[in-house]
Amino acid sequence: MKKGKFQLLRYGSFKDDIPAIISALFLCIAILVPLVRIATYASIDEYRLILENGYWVNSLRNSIASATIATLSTMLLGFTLALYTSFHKGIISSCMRQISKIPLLSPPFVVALAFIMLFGYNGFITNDVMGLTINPYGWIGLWVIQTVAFLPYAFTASAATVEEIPDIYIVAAQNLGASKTVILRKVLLPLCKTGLVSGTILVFVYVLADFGNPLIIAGNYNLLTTDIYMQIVGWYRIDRAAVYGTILLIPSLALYSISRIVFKHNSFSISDKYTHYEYKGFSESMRWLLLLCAPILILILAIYIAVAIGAFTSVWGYDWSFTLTHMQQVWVRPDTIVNTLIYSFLSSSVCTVLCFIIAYTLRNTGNLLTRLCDYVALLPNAIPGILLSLGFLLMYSGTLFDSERHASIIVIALTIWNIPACYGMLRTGFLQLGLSKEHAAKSLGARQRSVLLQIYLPLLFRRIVSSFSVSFLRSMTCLSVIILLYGAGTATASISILALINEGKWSKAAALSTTLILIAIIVEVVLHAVTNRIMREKTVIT
Amino acid sequence: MRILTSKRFDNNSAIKIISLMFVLLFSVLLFTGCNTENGEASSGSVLVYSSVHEEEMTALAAAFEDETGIKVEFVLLSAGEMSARALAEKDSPQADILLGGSMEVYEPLKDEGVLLQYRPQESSLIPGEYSDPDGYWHGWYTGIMAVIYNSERFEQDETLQGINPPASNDDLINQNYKNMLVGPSPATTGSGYLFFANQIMLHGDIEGWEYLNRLNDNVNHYTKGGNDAINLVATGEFAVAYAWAHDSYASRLQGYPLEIVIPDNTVSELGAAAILDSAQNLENAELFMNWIQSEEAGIIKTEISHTYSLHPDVPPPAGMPSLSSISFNASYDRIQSGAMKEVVLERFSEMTNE
Repeated sequence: MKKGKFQLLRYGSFKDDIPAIISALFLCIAILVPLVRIATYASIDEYRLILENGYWVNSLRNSIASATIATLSTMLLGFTLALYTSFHKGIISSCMRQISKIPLLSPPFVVALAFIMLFGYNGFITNDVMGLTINPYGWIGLWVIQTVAFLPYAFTASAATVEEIPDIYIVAAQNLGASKTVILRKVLLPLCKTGLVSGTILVFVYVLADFGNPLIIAGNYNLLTTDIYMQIVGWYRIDRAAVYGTILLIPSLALYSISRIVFKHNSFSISDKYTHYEYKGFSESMRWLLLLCAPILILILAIYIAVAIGAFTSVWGYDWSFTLTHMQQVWVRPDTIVNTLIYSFLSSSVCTVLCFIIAYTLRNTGNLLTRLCDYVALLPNAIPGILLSLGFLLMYSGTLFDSERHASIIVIALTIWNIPACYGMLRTGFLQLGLSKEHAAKSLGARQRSVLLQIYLPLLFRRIVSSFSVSFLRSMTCLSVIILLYGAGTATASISILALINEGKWSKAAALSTTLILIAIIVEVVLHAVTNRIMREKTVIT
Repeated sequence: MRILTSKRFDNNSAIKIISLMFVLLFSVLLFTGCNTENGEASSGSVLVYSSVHEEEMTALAAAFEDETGIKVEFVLLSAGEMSARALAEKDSPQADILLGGSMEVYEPLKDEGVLLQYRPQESSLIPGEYSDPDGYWHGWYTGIMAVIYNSERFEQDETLQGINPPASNDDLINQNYKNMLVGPSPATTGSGYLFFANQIMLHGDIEGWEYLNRLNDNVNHYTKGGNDAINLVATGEFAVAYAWAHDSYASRLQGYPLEIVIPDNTVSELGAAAILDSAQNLENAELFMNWIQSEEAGIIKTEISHTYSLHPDVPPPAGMPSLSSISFNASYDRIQSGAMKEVVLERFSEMTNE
């Protein structure tokens, strides 16, 4: 059956498409309404006034400049790492994979703090080891920190691309006598180009949205995200924050839209882990890649070791004597951690179930509708968290949600913020499976319910779990979405860490961060073990 | 047969896990729902948006609860956020009380009609000059602006050899401190703004900005939080800063080599509190407002935060000079300071954007 290019609905009855239309409507309402609320908050006169005074120009320039260099460096490293790890098996390779993902486990600004402790004036490394005095405050420090903090995203985007390349091309090239460099230049790179470009755009949008790191390390180097935060927290000008937010949305949305229109390639999802065959000889030439990646991986390790050490020292940065008091205090009053876990669990389960249902309804509908859904569902990737927070604050103040004292708003905001991750993964899953199995089952007399529960659910089980675990992790370490929404008794661990840093209790902040990281690791390990156990018992059909 | 059973087991286990997830989900939902309902149901509570530190707030809340049986729920915020939330939630009542932050924060809120006019009965002991004459906000503590430095750094840093540590505000523009100085930003912190406004009122508009420009040459960067500058000097990242004396003192008590100088012609904050116009637990809010100005609250706040209580019977914080021995800038005018904030911040943006 030939499909029309702009086919809104599937050929057939309108009735069958109602679930998909409902999904599309839901996505549009849930995601677009907060954005519209921000864009329309300030009146046209206020827009004109604020745009004319021009203070945002400098910040916008800084934002774009810093995001550009950080994106380039982190993508370079991420791609190198992806190349190396996907063609190598063994301990080194899997260690590199794991280390490059560590920054996902902690709130980003913890990295910035540890970086100061390591490389600041009194820094452990710069001063005590190398005898240098450098000043990390400014764009250089920010560059390094963002390169570290966004490496996991660059790595996953690149790895997804590299791993999608069928082995057969490489084997063919080898058989035709191509040298290793030729394979890299003429086979791998061209095949990765699309994926890399759209991955770069994704990382760029993420870096552009970062505000925890600049808050701590950027010094006088003002960015648009910190400006938004400062407009609210310092100057209490919500209208100005809303206007700045709209300005920030323009490049993010433009780039995002371009990448969606130009590349249909779905780079916003994290692929299953395939590694390539190990090509003897081919991998030899890649050994230099190790040298390129080693420093940054060591830096990541050093940063997190510094955090762990900080958790057990009396006064971080001054009195390095061992103490357990900070850790004890965390465990005696774990309210914020409990909140974090509850919100993360709720939002990621709701989001996973929701996205599973949405992706299910979209599996066989017309392409215009699915493209609309793809576009809108992945949109939160391009929205800075602080803007979502602002949007929800503006939206829900004055409604019945207020009486819930913000707990439900936090869960809703986190759920929407997580939609791209879950949706991307589950939608790709449905696309990869195709409809053939459903058709086969139906011709054998299976009902729709059995198709859902006995075909799609087991086959997509791994993806469901990983979509849950990714959004759980994201929610646990999230600061920007919650920062304007928390109320009495609903502060999360990341809010608490930021408050502790502000009060100068860096060791306590480190203790809380360490606990959070440990919990994240435990959750990951348990989920991984449970899925593996279930999947092993299964007769896998692919 | 074998394959068949194993398949059935798989499907069942997947379904079981999904249903387990749902059961868990709903139980948690229920659990959190109960929690908030309890909060709603108890009439004996008051919700405070607070910009005082967590430790003080916890102690104050506990003491008030002990005395009155009214539960204090609080959200810790920066003074700016506190005011932003009060404005954003004008039509959807949330909090009852705003607590902490200098009166400069409260003045614009008063003009926006967010605050409730109230005259506490038991505040007669705190002199009337410390509260809004119209009764919209009420002062209860004060903190002093100081110059701080890291003594260890002055001993060890080679580039600082033979250079004296700062003893006055004028020393801050000493060119030897170039890029060794940090300070809280006047745009985002109350302390930063107070320092700037004080220099302008002390020296007049022209000389004041001359001073601030030279200060700007020395400043490595302005921090976004009031305490950040203290941390950076405490840990030796930077040598000198202007900052709150009380917060610096708390940092010094942690063991950092921090020296605190209270310079001549310094300035103070007037820490205030207010009842929100939309307060839902009005009676409790009024009780809290009366209590926060009492001697008991003053003693707790002073002991933990090292700020000065405005209650005449509360002694000054341990280790700090008495208020009367401090030289304040007599020409500092709070109302004018609040009024010129916009202009000062615009000029600050210009200065730092160059």
